[in-house]
Amino acid sequence: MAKGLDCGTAYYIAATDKSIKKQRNVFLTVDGDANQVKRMLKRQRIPFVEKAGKVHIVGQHAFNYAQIFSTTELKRPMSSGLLNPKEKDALPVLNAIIGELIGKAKGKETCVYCIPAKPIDQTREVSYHEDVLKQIIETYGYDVKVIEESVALAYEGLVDNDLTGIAISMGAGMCNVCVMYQGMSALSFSVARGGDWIDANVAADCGVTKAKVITVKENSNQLDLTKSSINDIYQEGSDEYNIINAIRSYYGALVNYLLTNLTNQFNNAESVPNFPESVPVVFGGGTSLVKGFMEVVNEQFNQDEFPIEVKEFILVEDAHTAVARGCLSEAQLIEEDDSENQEESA
Amino acid sequence: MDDFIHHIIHFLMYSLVLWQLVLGVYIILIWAKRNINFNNSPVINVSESKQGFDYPIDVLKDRLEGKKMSNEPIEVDVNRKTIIDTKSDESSVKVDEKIKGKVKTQKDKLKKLRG
Repeated sequence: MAKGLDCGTAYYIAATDKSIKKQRNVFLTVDGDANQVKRMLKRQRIPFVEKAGKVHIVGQHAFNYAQIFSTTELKRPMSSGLLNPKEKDALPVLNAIIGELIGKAKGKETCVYCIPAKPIDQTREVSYHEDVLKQIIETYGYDVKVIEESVALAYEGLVDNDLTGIAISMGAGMCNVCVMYQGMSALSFSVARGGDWIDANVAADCGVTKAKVITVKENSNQLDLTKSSINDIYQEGSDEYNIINAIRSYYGALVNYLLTNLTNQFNNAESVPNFPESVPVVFGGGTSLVKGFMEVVNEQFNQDEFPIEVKEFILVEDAHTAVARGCLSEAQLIEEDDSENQEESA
Repeated sequence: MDDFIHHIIHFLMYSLVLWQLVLGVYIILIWAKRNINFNNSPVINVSESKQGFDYPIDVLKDRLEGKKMSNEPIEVDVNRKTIIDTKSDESSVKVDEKIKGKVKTQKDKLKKLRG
């Protein structure tokens, strides 16, 4: 069975034709005697990973703990879209997460995972990240193929426009962009800013933890980027009020940064297609899920300064899982091609 | 005793003449190396022309033919085989969220587009 895996900074999402699995990509290390800690975690059915005498709580449970105990440091196996160079215990955690999401291959199965495009605003390469993930997935017995994150999104969001247009995946660690013309990627890049960048700045400005900002961003029914403030005057000055205002401000800054850099990349690229007609711009990824996101995009966009005639801005259906589903489509097509080739040669 | 001193004086004089001869030949050879071109071959001697680098013969040929050389780096594809220890000693990870049901993809449209 073909599998698609979105290896995101905040979430790992696996898609098969029968289900979608999500795992929050965070962990925290529990101090104390490893055996005692494991016994306690097993009793409470809390998922953990042990490596070299250190016990790490993984996923949503780790996130919940970090919210309750604000002094606890929440660790990230990835940062800015790539493996976290500061996190030495990241790889066993990633291995355990991937293993749980995709399981062992039964026979000849294909798994397509995604990687970011080379970032334009940080001096890092993607090769090591790509190799490590490939190695981990291969240990579970899969034929592994890789595609760029924004291309995976295009496979979900641009098919109705003959795979022509712009796909922007708004992740936690990065935003990935590709300009596509009839299925061919003419320009792709990433910027190392995303949801985490918003969280970090909001947390710093409002004097709260990042976990608190994420909770408000994901759960607050008051958050709507189209409104400038909460209408309830009794909430003015509260943490939530301040956080929501700051989130709105940084969303505008992020979208502006993205569109400005896209314009700059497009203008400076050696070969970009001349689109005969206006094209759609499709958005996906967890950072685009917040209410009012598309209004912010429309607010920040200026057609006079943008090098391509834009037909419309579209938020892809089920934006959080779109990249994983794009990877799944690719994996399914690879498996179909393989079986057709086998039938022909038989 | 006089005989011995006589022999010593002779020894010193012969050595002095001999060393003068060696020094003379050495000075003549240095002068000749600097002033006379012994290499009459039209073929450029690579070992003489290099300036600290061993140029591949193709590069040298291109230079002699006056072709412009690009200073851009050459990207190479490496057959990578990363082996890193990523296994944990014990793991009990459970998926945070599982959504069961038919997953909608654009596979068929994608297949049609690819022909």
